[in-house]
Amino acid sequence: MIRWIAALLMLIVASIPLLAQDKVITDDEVMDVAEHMFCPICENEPLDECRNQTCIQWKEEIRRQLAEGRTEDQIINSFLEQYGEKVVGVPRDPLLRALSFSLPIIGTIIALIIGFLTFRGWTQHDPDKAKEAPSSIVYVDGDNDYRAQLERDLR
Amino acid sequence: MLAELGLAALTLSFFASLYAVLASVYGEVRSSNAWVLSGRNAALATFPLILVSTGALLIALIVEDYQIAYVWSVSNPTTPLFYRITALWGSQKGSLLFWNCLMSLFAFGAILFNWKSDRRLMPYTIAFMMGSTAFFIGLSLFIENPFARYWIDTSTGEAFEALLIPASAAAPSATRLAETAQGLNPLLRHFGMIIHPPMLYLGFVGFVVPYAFAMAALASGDLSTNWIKATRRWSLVSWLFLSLGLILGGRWAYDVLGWGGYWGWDPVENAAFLPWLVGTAFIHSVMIQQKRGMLKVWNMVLVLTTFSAVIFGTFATRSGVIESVHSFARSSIGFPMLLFWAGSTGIGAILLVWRWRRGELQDEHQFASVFSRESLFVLNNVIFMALTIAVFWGSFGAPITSELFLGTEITLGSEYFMRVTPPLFAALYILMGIAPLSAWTATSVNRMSKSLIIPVILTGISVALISFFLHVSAWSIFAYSIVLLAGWVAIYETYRGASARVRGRGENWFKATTKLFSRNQRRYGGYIVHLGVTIIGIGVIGSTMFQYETRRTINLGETITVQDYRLSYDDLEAGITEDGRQIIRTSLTLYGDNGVLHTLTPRQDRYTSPQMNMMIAGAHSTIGRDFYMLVSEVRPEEGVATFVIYINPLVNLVWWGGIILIIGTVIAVYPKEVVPAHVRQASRVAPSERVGATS
Repeated sequence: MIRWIAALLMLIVASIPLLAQDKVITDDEVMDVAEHMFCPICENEPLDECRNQTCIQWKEEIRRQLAEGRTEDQIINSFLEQYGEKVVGVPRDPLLRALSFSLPIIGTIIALIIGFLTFRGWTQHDPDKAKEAPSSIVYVDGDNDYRAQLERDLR
Repeated sequence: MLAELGLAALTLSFFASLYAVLASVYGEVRSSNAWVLSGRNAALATFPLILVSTGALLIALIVEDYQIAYVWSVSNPTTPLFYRITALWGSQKGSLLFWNCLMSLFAFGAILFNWKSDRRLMPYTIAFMMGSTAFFIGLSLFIENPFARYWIDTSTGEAFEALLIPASAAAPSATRLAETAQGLNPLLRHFGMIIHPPMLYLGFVGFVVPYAFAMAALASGDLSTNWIKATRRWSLVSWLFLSLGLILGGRWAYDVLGWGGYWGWDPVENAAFLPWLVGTAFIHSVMIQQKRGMLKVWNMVLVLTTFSAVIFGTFATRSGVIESVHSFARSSIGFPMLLFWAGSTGIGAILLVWRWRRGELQDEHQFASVFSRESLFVLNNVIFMALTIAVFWGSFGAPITSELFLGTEITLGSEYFMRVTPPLFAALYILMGIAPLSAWTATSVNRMSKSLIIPVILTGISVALISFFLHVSAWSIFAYSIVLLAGWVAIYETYRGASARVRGRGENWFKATTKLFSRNQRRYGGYIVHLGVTIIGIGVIGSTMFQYETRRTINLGETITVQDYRLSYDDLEAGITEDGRQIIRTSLTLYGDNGVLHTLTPRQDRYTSPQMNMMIAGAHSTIGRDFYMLVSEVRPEEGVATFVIYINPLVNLVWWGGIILIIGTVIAVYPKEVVPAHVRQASRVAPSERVGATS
């Protein structure tokens, strides 16, 4: 009896890889991986949306790797090794990733600083003095002498 | 004959625009009215000349003059008349000519409408407008000429392209040309393509007017608010067309591109979005200068950046720099456009720095509290600029930098944009909710809090209702709350304005509301725009956060279940249309809880000239959601088809919100109701009588 149970267990254990290989991968599972990748031929075309022959082959490759039990990260990394960073929507390389995300943050900080300085400039000025700012006067090149004369006359 | 006519008119328009620049500047520098008038007349002549040139190409498309290489490349004998007309902007050369036509139209309009009121600014304005127009006409004339024709070398028998009739050459056989003509790109054979590019072009080229007036103010030294008053409507009209172009582009993508969405953060889309972002910052910021005489330098920077973004967007989409820096180098118009972009931006920047260093751009009022409208508008500008930087960097900056300096090609897709932009959009919506409640100079926190009570309550009720009827998450509740608050504030402020008139003047609600809008179009038109943006926001949240997508392979006659729907695959038919398309059409019945909802007919259109397959969606649209499906693969012999199915909640609100945004902008732009002087005077003399008199 024990030998029969042992044989049955061995049969089950031995069949696990076969079962894994026969696992049916749905289109949705393939697209879940493909949506993080880009077509290598069409510029800026996500892989899941692209319908050219290369992309069809890539999707089949993703299906094959999923059937082998590979994770999303492992599959994407396998494509990265072969084709470079251009095939993913956000670079995986730490330097390129930092480059990609740092500038918008720096840009926002700089914009906030400019906004803050503008506001501080407003609040630190004497409002009465500010009203006297002559900026709405129309300056015309050539009338500087006239204005200087006017200033002298007014003294 | 048509080619000669078009070419002659194009050549004359180029010289007319160049002459307009020189004569206007010379006349202004020499204080010669005659030269300025001569420059103005030359500028006015440019538009009719370009119109003749564009008309010649259009007629050539309609009468199927395939000897003109452009006509041959974008149409063939099976192209319907309707698409022959839209083929005018179906490819680079024609669209550039059309662009010239629209730019000269704006210049023509600006000269006609503003000549008397802004006489002092006009010489330099004409110079800057015509300088830009001359550049683009030059591109059409010397590099991307749409009037080149096919000829056969009589000695070798080889076909070649030439503008003028070459020696020892003959015209090719008309029959042979018609047989080989290529036809319009299938992607452009859609209703949206009739109107989307012209709207976008109008939005782009329209910003040449505010840019030219701003540069004229800097060049002439008239740094008062004259240039702002002169350009307010031009800026809003350009912004209106740009918004319309973006919305129609989204709708076209949704209908034609077959990926279930309307905005993919593609660099081409983003190239049009960048001027919209900066332009929106400008039309807000400019109000501060008009009301308070502040932010003079900043407004100049914004108007310059908006035009710069327009030129950059045009350069990016036409030069090939989006594909890679290498294809840019191969492009014939790449370097000239890069130079023009750098030149127009550089000249503006130099003029601005020059005036600024002379101290001529000082703010007139410099005090404002934290909760003043000025401060909130500055914050609004900060966020718009941060968004602009983020979108520019993701679309162009990072890919070009990494390719040029690190030797690695990278693509920043929607993953990047969906991480970087949502916090900035959220901040903008919060400001949209708060800023309308603030006052110029100062607003107390108490007063603002009191004003917020009712909109906050209404927002809470709305979010509760949404949570009851729709599947929501914590993030979506936060997102809906801030978006809805902006909308409720706009509605509540309009209600408060109208109710004040009802109480104070005894008007009925309809009259009070119409008077409110007609007397302060900019403010209340702006609130309608905010309401439109709110509705767009609700649609975007629903359709991005809760989109459902699946792919199913179904046998003919089979029924499947997709979320709450049942779908039966009933029929498959194939055929060839008159214009040569092979069509494979599937027919499916969509069932809901109460029986049949709709018959969906997603299909594949297979074009042979040029070769391309298109997936045309079948959709069941309701205000709550779209059931949208595409047929991606068909095996007719087995009766099996693979469908891509999307359920897009609230997506239709994006289009409805867009329509409301356009209505609001039209209200803001519409010429103001002029109150006769005697009525104004009477109302000043006897304000107490006014209430009784208007009832």
